[in-house]
Amino acid sequence: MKRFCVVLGAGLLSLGVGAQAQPPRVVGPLPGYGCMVLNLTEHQAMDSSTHVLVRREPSKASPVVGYAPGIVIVPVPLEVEGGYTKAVAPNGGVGWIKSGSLRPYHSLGDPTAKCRAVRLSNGRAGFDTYH
Amino acid sequence: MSASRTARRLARRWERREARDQWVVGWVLGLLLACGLPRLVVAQVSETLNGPPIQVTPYAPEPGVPLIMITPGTPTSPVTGSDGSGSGSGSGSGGLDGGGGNVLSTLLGTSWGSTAVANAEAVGLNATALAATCELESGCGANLGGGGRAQGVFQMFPAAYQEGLQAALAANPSLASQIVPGSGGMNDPTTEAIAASGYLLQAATSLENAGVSNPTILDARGYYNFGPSNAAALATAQDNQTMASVLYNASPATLQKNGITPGETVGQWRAAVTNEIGNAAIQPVLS
Repeated sequence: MKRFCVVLGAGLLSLGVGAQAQPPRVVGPLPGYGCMVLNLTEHQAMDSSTHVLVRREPSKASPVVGYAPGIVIVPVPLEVEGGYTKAVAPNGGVGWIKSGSLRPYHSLGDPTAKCRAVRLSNGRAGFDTYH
Repeated sequence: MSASRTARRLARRWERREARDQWVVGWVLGLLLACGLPRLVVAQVSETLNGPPIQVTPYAPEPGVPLIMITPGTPTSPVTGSDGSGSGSGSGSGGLDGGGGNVLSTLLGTSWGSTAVANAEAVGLNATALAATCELESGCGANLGGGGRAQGVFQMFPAAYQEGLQAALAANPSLASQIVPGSGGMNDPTTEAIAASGYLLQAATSLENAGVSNPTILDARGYYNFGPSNAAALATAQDNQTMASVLYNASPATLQKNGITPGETVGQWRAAVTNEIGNAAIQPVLS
């Protein structure tokens, strides 16, 4: 009965109380994908004028579809073409990033951390760092 | 079928319906009682007024009615004993509406605040984003540090300041007339507020280009502190991940300089920022 009352109360409260915006949560692993990071120095990463471009096709002439986040989701094994590495684009589709702009995941401040690709509750690919 | 038989039948049906209704009412009452109504009922005990009730002040006197003055707080009868005096101690760290409280009020409380708000809105920024940044960086001038390269109430570095000014002027060229030229502008709050507005505008665009749709002021805080690529990663990170694992290329020294303690999680960082700026954290950066 107590649990029922709690559920009832929570349900009633939810009618009037707005929820805090939360980032999408992890719903499971994403087999066939892994993490890489942008090959930037600490200074470059902090510099707001530094953006690593994501292109639609593996070519400098191809349109830019967005900026790469610091941690990038890539297919495993890597797919490389014309000096570009295939990655999950910011819009959730396929994108290509210059291969020299990527390196394997490693954290300077948390050296024992590992990273894995995951499925997020918004249907997108995401990352999960763990120990 | 006779009329009397029909009447008896209707009466029996009515009794059955009444019994069913009583059962439903009883069930609902039982549920309410079990769920805490007794506490509500117990809470409704009579209380002794310590002074007269709050009086309605008439804004137009009624003709013929004598004017009665009641001094608030004067007991109408002596009350003995304790009526709930107490002492309490405690510190609160605000929830969504606590902590930093209304950051916009803090900004508007400065001599340059209303101009800054108008200028922020003129470039398409949610003025609360500017207010939150000002609150977090210096308490809108109340706790200005000194000595570092970051300057002014928004504690901007020279490069970010220049970028911010350019972004703001690109969005609204008419702001040029309010800008104090040269390095002196960094210490002129109105000029720096224009630069900070431009920088936050740039943050929103950058985050959207990195797949963060409708970025929040909290997301923009990540950009302001840790740069574009780190901010994009931080915006989608889980609460239980460590800040150091997400800001992968930040050295322990840099993390410390930015107030990130070893082992601090993304959730703890989000809570700390939210604690200072209240519900501004979840508002969108753009207006």
